[in-house]
Amino acid sequence: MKVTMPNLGSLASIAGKSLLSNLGHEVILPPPNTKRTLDLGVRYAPEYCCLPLKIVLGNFIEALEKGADTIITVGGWGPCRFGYYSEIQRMILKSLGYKFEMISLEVPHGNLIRMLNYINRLRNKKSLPSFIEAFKLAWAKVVTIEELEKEALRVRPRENIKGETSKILKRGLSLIDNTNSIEEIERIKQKTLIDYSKIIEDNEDKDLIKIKLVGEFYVALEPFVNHNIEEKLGYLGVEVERGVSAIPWISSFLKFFRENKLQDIIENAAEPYLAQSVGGEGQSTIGHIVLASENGMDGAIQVIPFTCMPEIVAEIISKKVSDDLNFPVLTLIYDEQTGEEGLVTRLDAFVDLLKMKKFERHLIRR
Amino acid sequence: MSEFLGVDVGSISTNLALINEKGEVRSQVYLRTQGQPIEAIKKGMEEMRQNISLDSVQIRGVGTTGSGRVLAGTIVGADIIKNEITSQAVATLQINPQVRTIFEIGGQDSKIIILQNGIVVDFGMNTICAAGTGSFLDQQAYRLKIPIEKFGDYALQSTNSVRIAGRCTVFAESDMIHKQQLGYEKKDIIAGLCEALVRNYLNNVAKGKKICPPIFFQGGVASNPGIRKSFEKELGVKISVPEHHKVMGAIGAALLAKEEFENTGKETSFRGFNLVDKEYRTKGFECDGCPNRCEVVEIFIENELVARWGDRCGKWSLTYGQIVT
Repeated sequence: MKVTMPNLGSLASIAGKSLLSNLGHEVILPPPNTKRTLDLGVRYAPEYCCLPLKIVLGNFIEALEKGADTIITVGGWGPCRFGYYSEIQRMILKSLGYKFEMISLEVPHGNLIRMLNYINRLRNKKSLPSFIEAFKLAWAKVVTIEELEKEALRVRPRENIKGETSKILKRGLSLIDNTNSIEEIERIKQKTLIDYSKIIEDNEDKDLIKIKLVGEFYVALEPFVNHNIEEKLGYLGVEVERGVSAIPWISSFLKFFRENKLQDIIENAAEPYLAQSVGGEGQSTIGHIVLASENGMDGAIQVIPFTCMPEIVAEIISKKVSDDLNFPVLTLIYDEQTGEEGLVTRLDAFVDLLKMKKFERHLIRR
Repeated sequence: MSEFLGVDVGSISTNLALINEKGEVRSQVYLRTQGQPIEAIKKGMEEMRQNISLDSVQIRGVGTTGSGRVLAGTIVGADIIKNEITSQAVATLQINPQVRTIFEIGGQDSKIIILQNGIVVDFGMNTICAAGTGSFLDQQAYRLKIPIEKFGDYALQSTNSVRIAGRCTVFAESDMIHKQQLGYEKKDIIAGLCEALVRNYLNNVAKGKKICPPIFFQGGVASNPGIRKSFEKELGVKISVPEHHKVMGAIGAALLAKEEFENTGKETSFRGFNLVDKEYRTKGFECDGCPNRCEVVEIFIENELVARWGDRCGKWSLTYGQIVT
């Protein structure tokens, strides 16, 4: 089996690859997302579908071109179209004449046997202990990647030389990619954290604008799609906190098996405004905005793929939340445009707005 | 005397404003960008140089704004490069510190800025289409064979405006043609177009925003009294159009440069008015490092590389700031 999977920040390319290759599969990753990926996706996907479907479709085509024969992806359930995406992509790829098999991992909604069957296929006749071992290693990578990426968000606006944080992070991630030992991952993490601390000397306690990044999962986490919004904000002197991240998302898949306290807190926070799920991350978006305001952050940015129903619902509700809590929220809608000027202007103006509010700095001294 | 220069390079127009220490406008220039920002900046600087007597002017700071602000900043040597929302707000606050709402309608985009106690608290920009912008009017004026400058006067003559669909330029155009064919008068159709633009602006750009007076209306489209009248009709309150409404962005950029100078006392990086005599060139190449094939742009002054940008990965980027400091 030559397996592939969609790009998703560093998670798929490092942790996903680690899991599958340790289970003895040959992993063929799609090349990093580029304009070509986008072009392929836009050409073959239905026009009204959202950007995540298009980019991921582009990933699959590019991976199949490289020789992959099995696609591993995730499905879902609920009112968001995402649940159908793997099936749509499978049909499009078949109609384009590709020969492959698709394994769509999803929350077993009545069909436990098919799920177990898929897992068994992925297990690849490995013994249970070595299956668990591979899983543990991949999970350690997920946790460490997220931790280092999140810490980078705190460090970047404080760095003394522009660009150093990203360099250190990149180096750390590539070391994690190349190791197969949990102890080594821990050492890399500690080393990276020390490197971070060296480049923010004298700036550790700098009082900065803090923005919560919320919205649709894929757009929030895939830098190619969101035009590197985390880095751009960092360079504007903003500390970003991720409202969307992979660990809670993966655990919410496992909510089926065990309770998920963090998700409950978010849903409770959203409740006065949106008491039920509207699919996707819609309810969480509202919950995160409320929590960010309660935690004394300065504002929130919601990122949405164009035509995303759950996030459009959240966008409208966020105006009321923003009014009630006197908490600024900026909504950015992403589609296939590659020009960045409009995005940069909005970010710049939003950050100015937050700075004026926080530091009570009037634009004109009187 | 100490003066401060503001340069606003937008998609349709390029504006310059020169202010003195008190923030008063000494001179202004408004011209069309015509897709050639570098030429427009040089032409604007040349006009500005002719407007003022160089001996009595001492430029202490330069600010740039507008969608071409980074390019403009590189070319003139800016001390501060700011987005157009902040710049517009700064300029308007200078006129009226109590201002609550700013409508800014330019050639290619339109904005609304909401302020409270002298602070920007919310803003919106048109996201989806051009129907609420100046280029919509430009296009329809062209269809009706009326110079855009006369558009507003025609609208004011109308006593019975024709309803025209305003949600989308395509709908508006076909609606307008249908009404023309039914024999409606030109002035009534034009008044209808102004109302359509205002309706679209309020339903799209200003959607969900609390519009409180005092309201200021600026940008190129504010020259059109027909639009102003439609706004007043729709909202039922008086709208102020400031004297220098076309160059408010440039004034704001100049004010920000002034503030920067007053806060830091730093010497300006301004390249001087004789930059118009120098040769500016841009050169581009397509990077073949990955399938993104980014178009990298290089800016040269007299064969010296002063900036380079356009790549996604940052391999080539060499910004003005990096070279100056």
